[in-house]
Formats: sequence, structure tokens, C-alpha cells
Amino acid sequence: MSLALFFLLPLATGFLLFLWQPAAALSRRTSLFVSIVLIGWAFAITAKCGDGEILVHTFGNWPPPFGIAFVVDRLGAIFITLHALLLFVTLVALRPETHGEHTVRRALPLLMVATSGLFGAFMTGDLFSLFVMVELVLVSSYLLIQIPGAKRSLVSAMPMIVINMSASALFIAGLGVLYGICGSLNIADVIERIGGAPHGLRLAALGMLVAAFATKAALVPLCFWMPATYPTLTAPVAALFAGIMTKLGVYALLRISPLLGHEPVLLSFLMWLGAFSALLGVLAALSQYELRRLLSFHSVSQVGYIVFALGLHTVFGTASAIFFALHHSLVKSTLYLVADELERSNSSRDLRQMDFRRPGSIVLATVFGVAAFALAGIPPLSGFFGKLAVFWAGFGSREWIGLALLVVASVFTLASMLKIWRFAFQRRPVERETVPTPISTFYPAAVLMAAALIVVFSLAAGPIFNYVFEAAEQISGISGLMSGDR
Amino acid sequence: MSDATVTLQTWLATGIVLMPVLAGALLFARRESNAVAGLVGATGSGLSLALIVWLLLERAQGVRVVWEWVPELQVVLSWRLNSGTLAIAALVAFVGVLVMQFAGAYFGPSAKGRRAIATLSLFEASMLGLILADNLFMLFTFWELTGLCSFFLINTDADKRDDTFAAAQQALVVTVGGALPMLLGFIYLASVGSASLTELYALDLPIRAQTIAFLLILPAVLTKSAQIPFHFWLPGAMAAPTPISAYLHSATMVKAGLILLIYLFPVCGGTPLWTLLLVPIGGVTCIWGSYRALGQDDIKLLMAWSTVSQLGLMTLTLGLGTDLAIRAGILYLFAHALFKAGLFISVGGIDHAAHTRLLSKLGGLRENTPALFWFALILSGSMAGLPPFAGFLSKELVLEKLTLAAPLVHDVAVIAIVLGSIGTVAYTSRFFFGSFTGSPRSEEASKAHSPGLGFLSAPAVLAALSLVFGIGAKWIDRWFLEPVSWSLVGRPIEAPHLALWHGITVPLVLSAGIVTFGWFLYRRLAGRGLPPGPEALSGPILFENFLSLSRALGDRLSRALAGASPSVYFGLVLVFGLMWSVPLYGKLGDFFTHQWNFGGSLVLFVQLLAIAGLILLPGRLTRVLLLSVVGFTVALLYRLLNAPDLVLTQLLVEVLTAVFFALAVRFIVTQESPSPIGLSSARLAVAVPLGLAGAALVFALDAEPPDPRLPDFFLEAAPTIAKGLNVVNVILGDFRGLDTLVETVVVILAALGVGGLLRRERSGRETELKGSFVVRQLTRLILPLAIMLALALLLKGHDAPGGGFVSGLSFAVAAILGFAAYGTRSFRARIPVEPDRIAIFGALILIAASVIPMVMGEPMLTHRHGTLSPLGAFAIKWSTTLFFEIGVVMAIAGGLTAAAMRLWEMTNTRRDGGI
Repeated sequence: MSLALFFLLPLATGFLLFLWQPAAALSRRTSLFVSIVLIGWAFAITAKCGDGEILVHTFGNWPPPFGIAFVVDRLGAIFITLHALLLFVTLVALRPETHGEHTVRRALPLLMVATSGLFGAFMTGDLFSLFVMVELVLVSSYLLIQIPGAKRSLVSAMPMIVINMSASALFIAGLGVLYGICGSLNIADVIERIGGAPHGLRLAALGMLVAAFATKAALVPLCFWMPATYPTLTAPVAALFAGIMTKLGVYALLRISPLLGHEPVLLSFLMWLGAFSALLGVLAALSQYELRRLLSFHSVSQVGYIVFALGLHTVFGTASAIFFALHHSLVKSTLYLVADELERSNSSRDLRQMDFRRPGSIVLATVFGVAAFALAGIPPLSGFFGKLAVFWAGFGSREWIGLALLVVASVFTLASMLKIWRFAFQRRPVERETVPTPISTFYPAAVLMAAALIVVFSLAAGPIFNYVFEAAEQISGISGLMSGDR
Repeated sequence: MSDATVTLQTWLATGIVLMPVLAGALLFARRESNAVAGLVGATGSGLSLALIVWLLLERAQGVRVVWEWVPELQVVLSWRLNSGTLAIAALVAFVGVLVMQFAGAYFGPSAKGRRAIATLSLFEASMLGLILADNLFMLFTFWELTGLCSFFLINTDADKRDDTFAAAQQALVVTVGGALPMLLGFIYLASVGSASLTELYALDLPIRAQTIAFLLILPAVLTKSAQIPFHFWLPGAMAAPTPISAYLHSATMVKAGLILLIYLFPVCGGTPLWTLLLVPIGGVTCIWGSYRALGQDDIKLLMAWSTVSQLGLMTLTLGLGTDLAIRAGILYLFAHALFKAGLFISVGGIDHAAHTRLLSKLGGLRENTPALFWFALILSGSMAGLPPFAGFLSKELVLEKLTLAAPLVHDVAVIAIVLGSIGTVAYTSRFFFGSFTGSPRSEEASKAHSPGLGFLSAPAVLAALSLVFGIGAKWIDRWFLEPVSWSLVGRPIEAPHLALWHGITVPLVLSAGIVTFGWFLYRRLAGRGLPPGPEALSGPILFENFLSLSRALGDRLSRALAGASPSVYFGLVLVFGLMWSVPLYGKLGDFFTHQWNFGGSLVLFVQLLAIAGLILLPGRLTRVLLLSVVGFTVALLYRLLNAPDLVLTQLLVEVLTAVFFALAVRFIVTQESPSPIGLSSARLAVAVPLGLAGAALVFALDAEPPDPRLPDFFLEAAPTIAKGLNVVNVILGDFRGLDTLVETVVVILAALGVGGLLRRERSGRETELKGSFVVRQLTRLILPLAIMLALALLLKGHDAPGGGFVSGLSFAVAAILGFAAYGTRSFRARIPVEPDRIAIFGALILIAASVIPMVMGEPMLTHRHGTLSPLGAFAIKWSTTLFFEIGVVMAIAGGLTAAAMRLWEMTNTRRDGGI
């Protein structure tokens, strides 16, 4: 199995679906089949990379740094597996019965193309082709935003497009400068040469990249596009986006983190940005009543934790960042899927209009409970291990103020999850005797699967942390990070 | 000890925690009546208790590791077994049996009883885990789980009353908030010592470390054990049904903080802050709790405040920080659990019998509920500290220990305990006499019936134990207190023996004084309420204010973070991206020393004018035109740099951009032309420094010697290995074919998306728009030329300027010309396939071009080249890049044409008239 297939299979599937335009059900089955194949492959390469192997595919037989190569190490394998799993869950949730024939038919090929872009981004060993892959993901996401066709989705697409375009411009400009001082954009080559590059230009180039990625990762104050956009997406697509899209920025930051070691000011910048995002994001979330908007502000906060850990620039911090990113992807996707079920069964996006007495609400409440308490870092769910890891890392680096911000943010995270609980799942005194109309479109498969993933992730936290720790060692091995003192 | 014994003990210890979990799971899964549910819950607790007793009899000692959960984070599931931990666990399981049984009766036929009992079982498991865990992080885990269960349990009556959520939320947020610093404290302990309590005991941490750890862990203790100023959640938690209050909020969970203090005493008891903080906090809590209890009308709230007070007393005692004080604290902890659980359950019985819990309505219950009267008498006696009950014994011990403490601490502690205890006697009297003696103050109370056996058995057992505890002081000391306190403190404690009668001692005199004054106070107050203190300091109100303040802040924040106009955010992104170039300002001086090329300078000057116009001139079309000026002059720059391919591409892109702009501008509904952007000071403040930074960056980059590796390689390999003379084209098609592939896909998607973006508008009249006769004739001439040019660009691109992308753009220009002249309908009729399909086919060709080499065992996008010489007369060079380029051409041409056509048709349906 060649690495290139990871990129080509979803791309080909996407375009065949564009061309063929089958009925939604058939289209969905095809996509599901492809995503199962992808999961299988992903696990295979994860196992291979776990043995310390680095998989390489050089395009056109041109040796790097002259040509492009896909290079998959542990970090890449982790993100590929994560996306493959989330894609599968999303596809399970995206049904013609619940989201409409038209939506499903239009969304599936785009999801496939976005998948190939994401896989490409996670695999490429070249910064320019990372840029290109990110563009592919973004253009598919612009189109996915349009699918609901409502005026709101058109309006909300504007800030997303404008901001991501400006971030992309910074990205490409930064790459230009980087090429100027390093002579290539092959990541391994750049890492080798950046040490000898002049300080001022290095800072300028990396600063542009950091700003671009921080925007894509949606950190305060560069996050504004996300809360405007995600609530308008088709819900399962939003689940996938919330899970993986902001992680693309995080992934890019992780990839260039060995470079950032040469400009420590950028690292502390990221750390503070992360700590403040963690607090301000959750405060903003606390005031929201629209469920998905609340959740997307939450992402701002949670990505803050990740970037804080990343900015510490220790092996342990990087490992914590990766672990937290994985946890957050699973949990946030699950919450979006629950939000989807809630919105459909209550015919409202507003928490205040929701009512727990709906079919399936016990199952939903359980799934929500698992995900929400995982997000709030209640042990022994995944979020606790994530938080513990980040705290360990912060402790090791003696970042007390940052830690204090994260601790306060944690309390608010819990409060905001309880808020959702109160409105959506809390039994309330029966004053209004409006018997809720039972809606029979509750399909528990996707949410149950997502919750199961969280539980498995929590139980297997030990081996998974071990794996991400090795991944962190691997990406920093070529850069001379500080040793991972805890 | 043999391995088999260790394994067995590991399983037994795990079983202690698992039994209630199983009971809970069973109850969640099966619909049972509440009575059966109570029985199941009690059985689960009973089995746990049996296992605990088994381990006690085995004299199990040491750490039993179950599972290395996350070794890197030092999270290990392991049990710490000794007589101390097992004894506390036994207390929890024992009270659990009684409470579960009581709950079965209490909930009656109510539908939620089963689930409440199930959750109660899960709570019990968490509590047992908390007590037995050796690993600090597992201890934390169980700690949080108890809080979580408490949240759901307080919420049990959410369908009946409105206040449960606020109470439950308050309890959870306060305790979790307090626990987070503790997590940091545990990390600290683990990093300076170990995450295992047992291992920590073996270390002797420096005082500084002890102090840091203690300060970090203290908030958790104070919040969980309801100490001032975090006590307020506990009375609020009384919104829960009585069995839950009895179990969680008096007997077990609120003791977790004290248990943690006992556990940590050997680790960080050496810090002077231990006493300096715990004694005053405990003292204030003790007094304030007593005072508030005195003022309550609801006997359940009275019990809640009394719990606060007694938790304060215990904190104070433990805070004295000597082995003897710890011993006294342990005894009081057990005694309190027994009498307070019993009293809470009695309150449940009273409520059940008289249908009210208000002292103003109760009275004279002795008549109808004699059994409850006697049990309550014993339990109240124990709480008030009267001989010969457990409460007396433990309070004596507390008072006795005071004589050993430092003088100042001693004074503070004595005052606090005496005041608190006077209050205790008074409110206990108020509760007891108010409920059982006198005449009934309401009809319900006079018609009270004796509660059933389910309500009486638990108080009976607990009352009996309180009595035994006191009378059997000698045996209790020998068989219980000594082993338990020794193993918890980790060393033998020299202490005088427990006895009810020591002769006339200071503690006895104090006790007598307390009872006398307490009785006097009770008679004086005689049922009058006391003011609850200033509302501004009321915990629940402060908490709610804090939450709503945070929400208001969040509301502002969310508007600031996601509400402003995109241009603000655009500026922000640029600031964050370019501010790092500011240190390069020094390079701006190169402006004067730079060797300016005349042509280039001229072009730049023109661009500058155009941009100035963009800012200063009104009108939409003006701006589009000025943007085009900038674009075309960029092409000129490329010409000056000798890059013909780029010139071609840039020109074609500009042409197409202008076309798309012209088409799209019509969709902007507002007729008035926009006013100039202008030079506001805010914009200037952002733009000028950033612009200078950008300029500085360019100068700095210009001064750097270029790295020749890649250009040299490309120049050398293009003609030799890749067999192409046009290096730009070889880079696009071969060296970096993947990038080209992806960018082409991006263009296709963007083009296909135009249809989606404007999908809603696609309806209206179908009048076709086409060019005039002259235009059509001209087009007839131009079109074949354009197509031939495009074909030439494609075929010759490998060696001469051109290539797939440029060729695709040319085709698109030709096609746009075509449908503009002939109308889209006749244009469609003349082409075999829809343009968007052509684009998709193009993408599929690109994919095929990628896959074919892989089928032949080469990496993706590997190309082959050769020369074909038919008849040997002349040689034709061939290359598989052509196949790839055809895909690019189809994709670009098809995609752009499709998009332009769609815009064209929509323009057509919106308004009449030609271009």
C-alpha cells in the first residue's frame, strides 16, 4: 500500500461522485466503504510508524529537497487515523433521512476531496505542498458551508473566506521568505538550514507562519471566523470540521515547532496566546445560548490548552499538545453530533427552547454526559488525562501564570457544560403541559460510536500517551528541543 | 507473603469498589421497585463490607497495584491497604448498607427512586475508591467522581422543584474548582517525591515543599468539607432527598476533605501553616455553623448547618497538627458519621410521619412515634456530647488534646470549640424538644403516624452503635482507635486510654460548662429565629453573582471576538503576521542605496498611483479597473525579470479576473457607488507601520545571497533527465507535479462552487443574451486562432513558453468569447460535453496520470520521455507529461468556462440588455 493512495483514493472517489451523481444512499454507501478502507490503512501505517519506521513516497522519483515527498512519521500517522475515524462517524451520521437527499449528495464528494487534502497535509514533507493541501481543504470547506443554502450560511462564509484568505497570504509570504533564507521548503532540509539563517528574516518568516496557523487554529483574537461559521454548517459536517479543521492549524504548528525553537519569542507568544484563548474562549462560550455557537467558542478555549502546551517547547509539552488535540477532536465531534440530534428533535438551535422529554434523550443524555464531562476534564475520561498532561508540562516549565489561567478556564468549562445539561437534559417541573411531539428520526449509531471512541480512548490512554510521547520525541529529535523534563 | 495472597488481596480490594458499581449497573439496567432497589443497593454495600472485613481479618497491609493506567503521567490504579484505610472504608460501606435500605423505604412508589439508589451505589464506589487509592491521581479521580455523583443526586428532585439545579451546580462547581489546585498540588508532590502516598510517607520532604503542597491542596479540603468561606454549597445541597443528604452530605463525602488531611498529615503536616490556617478556619466554621443551625426552622437545614459546624470542629482538631490531635479527629469522624447519619435518617422519618420538617409546625411527636423518640434521644445526646455516648467520648478527647497545643493556638481553639459546642447543645435541644415534646403545632403533627420498619431500622442500629461506642470506650480504644490511628499516622501514638470517667479533669469541667450554657441558651432563645447575616456575604448569592458577571463578561467578549466587521479582523491578522518584521526597520535605509532599475521603478510608480486611486476614488468599476492596472503592471515586472511564462499566465489571469469582476459586479444590489475608502487615522496607524515592515522585509531578503541548490538542480535536470527545455513548465508538470495537481483541483472546486454559491438565484426569465452581428463575425475569425494558440501552448509547452495551465486559461478565454458571441444555448449545442463535466474529466485524467506510474511500480507522477521516429526520417519527442497537461487544460478550461457561463446566464435572467 503506497502512501500516495491515501491521497488519491478519496480524491478519485470525490470526483467520481461528482461525475456519477448517484442517489444519496448509494453515494453514502460508497463513501462509507472508502472510509472503512482508509481506517484499515490508517491503522496499518500507525502500527508501522509505531515501530519507529518513517514511511516515504517521493513523487516523480525526484529526491528531496528537489521534488516533493510524503513523509509519514508517528505524528502524521496519528492525525491520519484520527481523521479516518472521524470521517467514518460523520458519514454514519450524515443520512439522507435526516439531512436531506440533496445535502448528502452534495456534501459527500466535497468531504472526500477535503479528506484527500487533509491526508495530503498530514503526509507531506514539504511546506509549499502543505500550503497547497491546506488550500484544497479550505476551498472544499467554503463549498461545504454553502450547502445549506440559507442566507445565513452565505453571510457567515464571508468572514471565514476573508480571514482564511488573509491567513493564506501570510502563509505563502512566510514561505517565500523562508525559501529565500533556507533555499528549499522541504521540512527536514529547512530544519537543517534554519540555524544558519539570519535572525531578523527568520523571525519575520516564522512570525508570518505562526500568525497564519494561529488564525487557522482559531486562537483569540484570531478566532472570530469560527463561531460565525460552524453553527451554519450541516451538522455532521460541522462535527468533522470542529474535530479536525482547527487541528490542521495545530498540526502545522506542531510540524514547524522544531523551527520555532530558534525564535523563542514566538514560542512564548504562542504559549500566552494559548493561555488567554483558553480563558477568554470559555468565557465567551458561557454567555451563548445557541448550542453550536457555544461549542465553537469552546473549541477556541480548548485549542488554547493545546497551543499553550505546544508553546512550552518541551518534549513533554509537545506530547501533551498532541494528546490533547486527539482527545479534543473526538470529544468535540461527539458534542456536535449530539447537538445535531438535539437541534433536529427540538426543531431549534436555541438551548432555551429545548426539552429533554424527547425520544432517545436517555441515550443522548448519556452520550452527552460522557463527552461533556470528558471535555470538562472530569476523570477518568480522556479530558482529564489531557489536562493532567498539560498541567504536568506547564509544571515542568514553571509557567505558573499560564497554569493559573488554564485552571480558571477549567472551572468555567465545567460551568458551561452544566449549562447545556440544564437546558437540554435536565428534568424540569412539569408546568407547561405541552406534550412533545415524538420525532422518530433518532439514529443513535453515530453518537454511540463517537461515545465509544471516547471511552476506548480514555481506557487506552496509557498506550496512546506512550505513542504520542514517542511522536513528540520523533519530531523534536531533529531539532534539539529541551529535554522533556516533566 | 505469598504471591497468591497478594493477588487475592488485590482482587478483594478491587471487589470492594466493584460491588457497589455492579449493584448500580444492575439497577440502571433493570426496572425494579424501589424496595427491591434498596435491597440490591444494600446488598452491594454489604458485600463490600464483607470484603473489607475479610481483608481486615487477614491484616492486609501495603500497596496492591491493579493497573498501570497511564504510566507516563504516573496514573496507576492501586490500593493502599491497612487497618486505617480499611476501617474508614468499612464505615462508608456500613452506613451505605443502612442508607440504601432506608432509601428503598423512603422513595416509596416514586419512579426516580431506583435511579437515585443506583447513583448512590456509584457514589459509594467512588467514595470507597477515594479512601483506598494509593496513587494521588486516582485519589483525585475518585474525588471528582464523588462530586459528579453528588451533582446528579442533588438533582434528583428536579422534576418537582426549581432550585435543585442551582444547588447541584453550585456544589459541583465549588468542589471541582477547589480540586483543581489540588491537582497541581498532586503534580507537585509527584514531581518532588512520588505519586504514591505510601512512597511519600517514606520520604521526608523539606518544609518548603510541604508548605507548597499544603497550600495547593488546601482549597480542595476547604471546598469539599464545606469550610468557610466555601461552606455555602452544603446547606444548598439539602435540596436532595434525605437519604442522599444523610449519606453524602453528612456521613461520607463531606468528610473527604478531612480524610485527605489525615492522609496528608504524615506528608506535609510539618508546615507551620498547617496549624496557622486550619485552626482559625475550622474555628470560624465551627462557630458560624452553630449559630446558623440555631436559627433554622427546617430541621433538615438545622442538621446541615450542624454538619458545617462539626466539620469545622474536626478541621480545627486536625489542624492542631499533633499525633494526638489526629487521633482525636479520627475518633470524632467516626462518632460524627454514626450520629449524624442517624439523625438525618430520623429527620427523614419525622418528615414521613408528620409531613413537615418545620419546627414551627412540629411538636409532640413522642406520642405517636415512641421508637423514633428514643433513637433520636440517643443520637441527639451523642451530638450534644452527653455521656455516655460516642459524641461525649470524642469531644472529651478533642478538649483533652487542646491542653497539649501551643498557647495561642490553644486559646483560639478552646474559644472556638466552646462557643461552637454551646451552640451545638442549644440547637440539638431545639431540634429534639421542638420535635418530640410539647404539644403539636399543626394538624399534620398531631396526626403523625409511626413510620415503618424501613425508617426505623437504620436509626436503631446507629443509635445502638453510638451507645456501644461510648460505653465500650476501653475496647474501642484497644481494638479500633489504636490500630486505626497508628496505621494512619504511620507510627505508634503514646496516649492515655479512652474512658468515660477520668476523674474531674479540665475537659470534664468544660463539658459540664458547655452543656449548662447550651441549655441556658436554648431556654433563652426558645424557638426564636436568628438573623442569617448580611445578604451581601451570602455564599449562594455571591456565587450566582459571580456566574452572571462571568456571563455578562463573556457576552461582551463574544461580541468583540466574533462581531466586528471583517476588515477589523483582516487588520488584526496582518498585525499579528507582520509585527515580527518590525525589527528589520533598519533595512529601510537600503531604499537610498539600492540600485533601482529604471523600468522597474516606473512600473512600481504606476502601481503606487493605482493603489492610491483605489483608496481615494469612489465607484465600484473604477476600483475594478485600478486593480486590473495593478495586475497588468505585475506582468510587466515579470517581463523585466525575463519570465515569459509568468507574463503569459499573469496576463491571462488578469483578463479572466476582469471578466469575472464585470459579471459579478452586476449582482451587487445597491445602485449607489461606494464612497472612497479614505485615509482614516486608524487605518493609517495600522497600514503605515505594517507597510514599512513589509518593505523592510523585502530589502532584507534582497540583501541575502540566494541559495543556488534548487535552481541549479532544476536547470541541470530539466533538459537532461526530464527532457524539457522550458524549466518552468518542467517544474510545474514534473518536479512539483503534485502541487500543480492539487492547485488544479482547487480551481475546479472553486469554479464548480460558483454555481453553488449563487444557486438560490437561479430562476427567472429565460431570454438569451448574445453578441451583435459584428461581434459574431469577428468572433468567427478570432475563435479558431485562439484555439490554435491554446493548442500550441499546450503542445509546445514542454520546451517553449506555455504549458497546461496557460493553455487552459487560453481555452477558457476562447470559450467565453464563444458563448458571449453566440449565446450560451447555441454554444452548449456546439460542444459535446458540459464544461463542468470536462473539468471533472480533467481531474480524473490527472488522477489517472498519477496512478499509472504506480501501477508500473514507480512513485506517483513519475514521467517517461522518449523520441519517436516513424520511418526514421524525423524525430518526435514525446513525454507522458503531455497526458498530465491535458488533464490540467481540461480542468482549468472546463472549470472557468462553466463558472463564467453560470454567471453569464444568471446575469441574463436578472436584467435585460447587452454588454
